[in-house]
Amino acid sequence: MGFPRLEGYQAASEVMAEIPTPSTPARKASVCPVCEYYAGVTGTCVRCGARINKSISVRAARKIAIAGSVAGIALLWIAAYLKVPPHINIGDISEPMNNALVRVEGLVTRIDYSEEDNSFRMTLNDGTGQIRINAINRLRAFRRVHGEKMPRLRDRLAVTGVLSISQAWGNSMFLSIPDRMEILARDAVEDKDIGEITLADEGSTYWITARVQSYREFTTRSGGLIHMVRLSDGTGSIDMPLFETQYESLPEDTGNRIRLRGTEVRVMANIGSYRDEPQLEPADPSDPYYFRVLD
Amino acid sequence: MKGMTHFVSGVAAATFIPQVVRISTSARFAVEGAAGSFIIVLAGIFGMLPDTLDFKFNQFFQKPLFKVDPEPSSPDPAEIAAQFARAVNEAGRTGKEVRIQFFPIQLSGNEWRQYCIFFDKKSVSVQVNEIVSTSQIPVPGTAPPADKRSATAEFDYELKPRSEKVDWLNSSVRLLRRLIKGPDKPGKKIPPTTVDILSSTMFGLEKEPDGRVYFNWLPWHRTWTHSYLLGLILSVPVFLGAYLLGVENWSLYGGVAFLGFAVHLTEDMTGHIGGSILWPLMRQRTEGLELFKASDPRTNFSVIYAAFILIIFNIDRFSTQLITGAPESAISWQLFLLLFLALPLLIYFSVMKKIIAAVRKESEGEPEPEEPDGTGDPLID
Amino acid sequence: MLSSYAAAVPDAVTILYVILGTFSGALLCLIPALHIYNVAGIAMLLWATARHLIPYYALAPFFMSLVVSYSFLNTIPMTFLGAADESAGATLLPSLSLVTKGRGQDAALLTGLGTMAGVLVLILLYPFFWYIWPYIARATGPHLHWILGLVIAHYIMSEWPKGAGRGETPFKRFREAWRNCFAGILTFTLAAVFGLIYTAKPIMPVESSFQNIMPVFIGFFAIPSIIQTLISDYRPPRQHISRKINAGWEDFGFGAVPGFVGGMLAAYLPAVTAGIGAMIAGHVTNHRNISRAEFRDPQSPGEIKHLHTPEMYYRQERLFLISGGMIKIMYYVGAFLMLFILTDLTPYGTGRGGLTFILRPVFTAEPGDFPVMLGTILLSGSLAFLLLIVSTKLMVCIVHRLNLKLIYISSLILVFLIIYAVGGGWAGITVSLATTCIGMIPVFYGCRRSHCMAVLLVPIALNMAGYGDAVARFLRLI
Repeated sequence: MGFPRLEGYQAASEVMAEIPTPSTPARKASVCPVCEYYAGVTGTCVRCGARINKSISVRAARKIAIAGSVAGIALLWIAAYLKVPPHINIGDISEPMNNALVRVEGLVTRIDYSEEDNSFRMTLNDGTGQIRINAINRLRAFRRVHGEKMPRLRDRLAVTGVLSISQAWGNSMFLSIPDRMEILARDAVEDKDIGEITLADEGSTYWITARVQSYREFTTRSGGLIHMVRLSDGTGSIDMPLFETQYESLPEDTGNRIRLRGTEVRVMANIGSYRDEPQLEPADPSDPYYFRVLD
Repeated sequence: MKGMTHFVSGVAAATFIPQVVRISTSARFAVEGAAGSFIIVLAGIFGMLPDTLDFKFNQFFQKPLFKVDPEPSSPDPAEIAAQFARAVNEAGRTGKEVRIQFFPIQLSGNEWRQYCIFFDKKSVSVQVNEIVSTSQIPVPGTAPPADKRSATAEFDYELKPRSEKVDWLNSSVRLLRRLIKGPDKPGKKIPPTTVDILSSTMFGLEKEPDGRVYFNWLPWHRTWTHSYLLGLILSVPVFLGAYLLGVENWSLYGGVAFLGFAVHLTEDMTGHIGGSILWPLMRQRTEGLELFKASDPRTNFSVIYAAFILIIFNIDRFSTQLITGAPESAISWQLFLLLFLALPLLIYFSVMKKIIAAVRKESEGEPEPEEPDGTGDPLID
Repeated sequence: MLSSYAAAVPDAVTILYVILGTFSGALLCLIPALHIYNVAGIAMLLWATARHLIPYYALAPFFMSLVVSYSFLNTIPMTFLGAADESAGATLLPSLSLVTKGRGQDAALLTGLGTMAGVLVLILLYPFFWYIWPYIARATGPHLHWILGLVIAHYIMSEWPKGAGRGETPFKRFREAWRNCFAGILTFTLAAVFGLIYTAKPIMPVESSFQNIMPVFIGFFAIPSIIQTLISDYRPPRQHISRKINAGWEDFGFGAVPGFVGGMLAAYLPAVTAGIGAMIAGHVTNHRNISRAEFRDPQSPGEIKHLHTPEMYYRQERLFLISGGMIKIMYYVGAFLMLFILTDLTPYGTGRGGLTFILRPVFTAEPGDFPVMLGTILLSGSLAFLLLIVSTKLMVCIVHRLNLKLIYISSLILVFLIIYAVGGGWAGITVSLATTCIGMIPVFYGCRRSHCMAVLLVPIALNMAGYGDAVARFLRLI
């Protein structure tokens, strides 16, 4: 015969004396040891199918699960703390490395700062290949840590970030933490005499100090205007073509003066080639640091 | 209304504040003031907080004088009914509020013994039903034998469904309700209660000056937890936290938290139970406007849908401005709201009208009263 | 114009690879606990080393059919063997409940019909995906971090105490009722901390980084499922064989709304799985109360009034299965399909999910691929559904005779071999053991398994908001 379990100061005391209360221990014994559902008198939990009488090790198993979780997280933290992201050559990057945290070192061959979207993007070249480094929405955060020592073209950098490999965009790396960028050498670019430049230097970057030997304009077949500046430093001479957009990005005074024979300039330039002859490709005409007229 | 309804309503309300949307925009995007803030989440959390406080905390701190926890293998309806009768008599005798709690009868993980309690003016009847699943589906052939199926107990005091203790706030709400809906239905009975899955249910019984006992369903629900003043108090730590952490626009954070809380209470006031909206100044629970039933899926779904559309509308016009809000946007805001808010809701209500008409054709009895709001239906999760 | 349509029609070789993908997916996903993304990862590696195996233009259709097939056929191990993956929350419990009543066929085929309905929805919603979805994706894109924050907040707050609150003191009542909530919060917190450490500084070997989340998921979902089944001595009873499915066609109308809502959430929001999507969709779209139980005149001796249960209540179980099947395919397939929505507003698509990530290094979606993908989904889905019907009939006949312990122990060994081979070797195995411990907490305490998804939800939300740096600094993992 079943009776309600009752509590209460008067009514309960009256009734409890005569009514056998269904025991709490019995209720506990009928709880599923696996999923905690009340299992009643059945031998198997309806919810998860566990056998109700197999409960000796459940308490221990629970403790193991919680202790194991905490220990696992602690171990993971220690492993992560001690982990040194491996240094890899850019040319060795392959598809399975997508999402890997790695360190690469190389020269900055291109860099764009965008104040508007708080980002900067650069290209690193380590001699085995090149990779785009993107610090999206992180420019101000990087400036807070690095101050004036933000990377510039031709700096040698070491960066640690997460690789993103995409067929559409090639290899790139997300750089989000300022401390994971290190400038190994400033202006890791040598000065070079024009007479020493050969086709073997193609792809390299040098500082060139020379005078304007000649200037002319011509139009390409596609209609684009080229400003051809020939530079000479006494050891030899070399062409430095400027596309219209590059020319227009020069400060007005610089643009006017490089048309004049004898104007001395200092330019950081990549070595390219045209019809088996080396030529100069200015690294960043818009920045007077890399392209300036010497008074 | 359901927890999700309050949650998204709070969020939708917060998105009407342009500055809130702007600081919530990811800083990667060229939106003035974009700061990647999580401030809108506060509106959702505080929108759900009153019911969370009730159902996750408040109900476990109640001290009912009577607890009815029927024995699972053979529940006795006579004893359950007798306990309720004792509780009414106790309330009538002492003049103090007496609370009685009825526990569900769980038989296994997915099996519960259902029982119904029917209230009359001076008697209560209890009927033990079939075993039901957690989805409240009865298992055929599991009803107790006729002699153990039901029982009735009488008590000495008359029960009544509405309290006569009416303060100025309650009078104002009643007046407003009558203006909107017309006169209250006379002689409203206490609806029967079904106890089956998961939660217990509780009643408060209190003798009033007319000698009758006021029957208060879930007396702990929508009391101090549903107060605008509590909302203000709870938003103070948010104000302070944002200020101390040096967050830009710190004052918005507490305001958004309060807004979520306030939207919940205001929505609840459109229902039946109302709330103690000015606790602790006025402790009594104020009746609602009884415009909607809290568990009505049409109300809940249409509010949720409208909130989703308004959220998209607001976050777009205050940040990306692709859809509306700028001359180069895709469409005007009027067209957007017509196509994506008014028209779908019109179609929805038309379809629901047909479905409900079909359902009502099969209906021939008195519907079960709605379950407490804020809890959601028995979802398997 | 005509040529663009001609280009959109898959040629015979592509169809061949779609059929091959469908059958491969079907075969592989019959192994419990083996996830399709594990297989897809291995297939991508194989393809990267021997590119002649599949022509480039058939690559996406092949992988798409692999996933479509998995969406259908993983119903078999999930229904009959209780093998849960991260999408299991959508259908696992109703399925298990039906199998214990001998109605496994109903469970499997209703889920399958729901998945097939999902295929049709994906195709019929072409105008939505093409003309409306890009606006929604672009408008919500800058706000995903707080949208994920909302998902997290609602997910935690909506887990209600399962206990009725028995006990002598408020504290005891609170503890009794809150057992599952405490366990849920603990699981969520541990998984989130794990995820924050793991994403701030991954410890996997560089060569297996593209699969570095695999051991984590296997630990959270696959291994606890196997352990639970092994220790619970789970034995499905003999199943009923029937020529009918216990449902009406109108059920699909009711199931389509939660299926679509949950499916879109799971397909678009990062780290929101089919299980979480189903839970949210359930809260958003539940219409169970349009007809309530009614008190009618007594029907049997002793009754005061007869409590009549409306059809809508019975329908809920069917709706869970139908919408769950639909959410599953939108989660796995829809997420990948969105990669091909190449419009002016979404020039790179809006694709998400495991397959999008796995294929990104070797594949780029191009204009005109979308119709090919829809064709692939329809062909592969139809074939897979037929295979599901055949497999269900087979399982119904043999499931009570299967040696499940042997199957599960073999699966466990296979899973560890895969982790060792492509999931980071011993480091991967160690990671999977740690996450197994966290994944066992929901099993032991009866809270939601999807709490484990905090491993991705929390780090992604924080990173999107720009707090990844601060978290890594706080954890001293710079």
